[in-house]
Amino acid sequence: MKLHLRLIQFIGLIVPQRLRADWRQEWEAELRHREALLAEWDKLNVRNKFELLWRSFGALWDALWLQPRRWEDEMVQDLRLGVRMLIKHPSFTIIAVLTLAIGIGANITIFSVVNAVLLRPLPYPNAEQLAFLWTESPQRNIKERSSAYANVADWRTQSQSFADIAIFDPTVVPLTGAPEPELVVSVGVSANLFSVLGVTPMLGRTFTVDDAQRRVVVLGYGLWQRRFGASSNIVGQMVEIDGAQAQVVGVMPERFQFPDQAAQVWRPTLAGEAEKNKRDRGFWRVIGRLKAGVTLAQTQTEMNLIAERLAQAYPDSNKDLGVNVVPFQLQLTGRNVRLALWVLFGAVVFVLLIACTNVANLMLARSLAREREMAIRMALGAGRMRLMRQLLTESTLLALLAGAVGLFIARFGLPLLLRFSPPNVANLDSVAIDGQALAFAVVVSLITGALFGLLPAWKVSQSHLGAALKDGRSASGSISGSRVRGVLVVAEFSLAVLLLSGAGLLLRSFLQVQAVDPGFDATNVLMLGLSPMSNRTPEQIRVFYQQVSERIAALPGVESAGLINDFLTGGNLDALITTERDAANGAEPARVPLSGDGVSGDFFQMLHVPLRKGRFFDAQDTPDAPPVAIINETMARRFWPNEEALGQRFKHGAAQSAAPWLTVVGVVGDIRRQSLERESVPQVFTPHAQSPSRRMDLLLRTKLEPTQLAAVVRNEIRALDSTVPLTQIATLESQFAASGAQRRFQTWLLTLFSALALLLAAVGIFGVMQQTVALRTRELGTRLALGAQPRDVLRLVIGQGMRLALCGIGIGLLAALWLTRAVAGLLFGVTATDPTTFVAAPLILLLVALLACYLPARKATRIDPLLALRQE
Amino acid sequence: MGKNYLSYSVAIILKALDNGYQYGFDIMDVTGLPSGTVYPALRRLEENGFVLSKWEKHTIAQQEARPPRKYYELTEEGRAALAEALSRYRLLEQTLLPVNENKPSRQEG
Repeated sequence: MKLHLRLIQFIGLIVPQRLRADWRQEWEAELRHREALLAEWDKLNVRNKFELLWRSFGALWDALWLQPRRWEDEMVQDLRLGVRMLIKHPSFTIIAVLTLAIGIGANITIFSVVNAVLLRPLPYPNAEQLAFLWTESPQRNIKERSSAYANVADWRTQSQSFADIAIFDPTVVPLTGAPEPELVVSVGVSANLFSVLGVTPMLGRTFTVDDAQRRVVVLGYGLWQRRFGASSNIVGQMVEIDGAQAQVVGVMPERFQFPDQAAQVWRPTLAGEAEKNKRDRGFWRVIGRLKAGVTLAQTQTEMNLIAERLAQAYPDSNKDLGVNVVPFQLQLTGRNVRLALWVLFGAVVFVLLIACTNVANLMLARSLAREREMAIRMALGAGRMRLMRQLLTESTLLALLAGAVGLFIARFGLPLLLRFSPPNVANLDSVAIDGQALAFAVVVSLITGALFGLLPAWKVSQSHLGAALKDGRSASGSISGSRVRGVLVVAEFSLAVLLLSGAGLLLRSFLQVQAVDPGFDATNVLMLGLSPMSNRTPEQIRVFYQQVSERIAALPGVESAGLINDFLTGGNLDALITTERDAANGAEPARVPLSGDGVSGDFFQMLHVPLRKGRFFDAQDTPDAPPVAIINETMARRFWPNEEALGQRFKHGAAQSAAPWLTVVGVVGDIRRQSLERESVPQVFTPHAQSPSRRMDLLLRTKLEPTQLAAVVRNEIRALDSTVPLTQIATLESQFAASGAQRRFQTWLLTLFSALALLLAAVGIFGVMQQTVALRTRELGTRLALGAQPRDVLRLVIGQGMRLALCGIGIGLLAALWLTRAVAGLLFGVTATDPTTFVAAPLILLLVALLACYLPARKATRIDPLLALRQE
Repeated sequence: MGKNYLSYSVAIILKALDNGYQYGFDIMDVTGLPSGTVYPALRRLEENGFVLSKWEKHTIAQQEARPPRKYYELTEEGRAALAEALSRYRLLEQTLLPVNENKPSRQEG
């Protein structure tokens, strides 16, 4: 054949098959016609030959230009075929789609939460430049303490990393006047706070430096809506805060929540003269904005240097003190919540991986069944690439379908999840399935499709044409196929054991926390905070509270009532206590974390706090009587470990401080007021009469359902003093439960996910064993015919399955031992290598695997040898 | 390629077709365009409905001991597109491509 015609033949190979014959004919005819013409004119000279060759070479461009048609046509074909396959095998389609949809749905749900809480930028311009600055004291394991004014002033002048630094101090203030007095969180701020945050008010203005001397406030959106009817001419009006008038200068927009959503009033504040030189013990919280381009690490390094300088210059106050720079977003979310969310996200990714493995398994099983179909198509000229693409199209279709169902699951799962979510997670209210979640769903579906589709597609490309054609069930293909499926089962079990151990650790922690004795009885206890007006004298306040506890205790349905400064307080992380002995020896005061509270009424009796020694407070502890204190057991152990604590004397602060010496008259059991997970700290209780304070929490134990009494209690207090602002009234249990909500949330979610993983893994191994038995019917039948007992067959099949399971569990355990260190921060009372968990998790999996293998194995024992052999 | 916008070379090909040059190689001869341009252009024109392709009579092909050639002819749309192209490329109208007398036999092969 002449060269140019040969070239056409060759180039024709890349022309889409459908067009190939026509294409070749057109070019060949044209070339041969030309050849004939030329031959008439002349004997073909080199030049003419070259010209012909050149023209036929041009056919390459023509052929290339036709390439997209191949794609379009075959893609449509693939899709059509794919849809047909999915419809033709509804049970396969439904199982695969549901399996994947559960995985994808869980991913979308958790992604939405992760996205809103961790990823979505805060509503401040360049929020990544904002960071909190805390005083830290590594030696006493204190990471985030508020700071003293003089230190912050030095940070501000010496640091080059920050564009500006602002300070603030949230407190609870009574909002008095019409319609009803209430307690709100008011934040004293330096005038530059709003500019550091980069926010502007919705109405009016924020503060200027001159405002520090004036009584002006900026209101939060919520308070403005609720209490001031969203009045647009609120700016310039007066509001009554703690009995004094203050002018509203601005209202912040709805999304502004600083430092958290509780804050509703901001007022300018200025450090008093006495405070300006104070380096020891401050109450300021600090936020700064980094200069553009400055990294957090650079800032931390610089602040470390500044802290060192200050420690050298002021050793008395600043020795061992550091500065801890925490990004705003991290501060807002909290390390624990962040960790928990990433762990949950990791868990759902694992669940999805297991789901993918399962579906890959299903696809493999089916592609083995389809081997003959594939072989025929290949024999008819379909390339391996083409078949692989066909399978990938099918898997992508499946995955997208599953993605749609997954979105549907997430649509209903998310509200359910949010209902059980802990109440104190920032930005949780903005969680929704939005555009980003949709995009995530699509991407995850596509990746999923590729993940579980690639393996079967690859298998097809490996299969042997001849063998498959000869016999519907090609021996070679099936055996190597089941080997691949075995690997998949191993992978599944590894992932499942990983999830199960993680969940086990959290579950054990949860149970440990539940087993902690809070030291008091919170059932049927109501709590509310009150704070009389500032113009009341201490005596008036004392009388008021005495009347409150007496009248509330006398209410029908109330068993007893008591008062305490602040029930849920965290106390002082770094308090000073001087014992009489230390004072006599001239020793330094002890630095301890401590909570000191005034109590009155039958506080201890009401909460069922056990008295270990001495007595409770009573009527003899009047303002004029010698000052007394009740301490908890931790305090007694800390200061008087081997001697009688009763009768000992100590004081708050240093020996020379003006605080009175307190005599220990009683020792009570430890109570964990904030959270079950916090170790009890030394606690000092003083009688309210001897240490009067304005703001108190009222607690009362009821004989009935406590919430029924809420209104009665409010009215009773109002009747005593209608100007007293109250907080919300709530049961102590609900207040206390909030602190455990996060643990409950993360534990149950992870347990749910690992249960899903377990289920999927069980289905996976069941499917594989089922098929193995089907493939080995003949062999097993022969064995039975040759005298094997059903028990032997049972052992054979189960043994094969358990080998896979054991292998997976082993790999998974190793991975788990390494990976569960990541959740160490979420554990309580167990170590990351908790033996119970690491024995129980594999055991559960083994049991499930045994069950999943038993069913196919039992089927294997019932093979009729005659039938099996006749299959030949 | 938009339906209403033809490149200069495609316009020339239309003009050649109009003048009776209906085989790919003849078009190449008369326009001087290379095969790598002419053929993809013809395929596109066909896709857009500006030209139709047909196979020549078997009998002719048999005489030359080769397969039948494919020829292209303008559709009504193709003629309209050519008219529009001519108004755009006025030089093209003045380019007098010779008229081909040897039109193929219009019959399916």
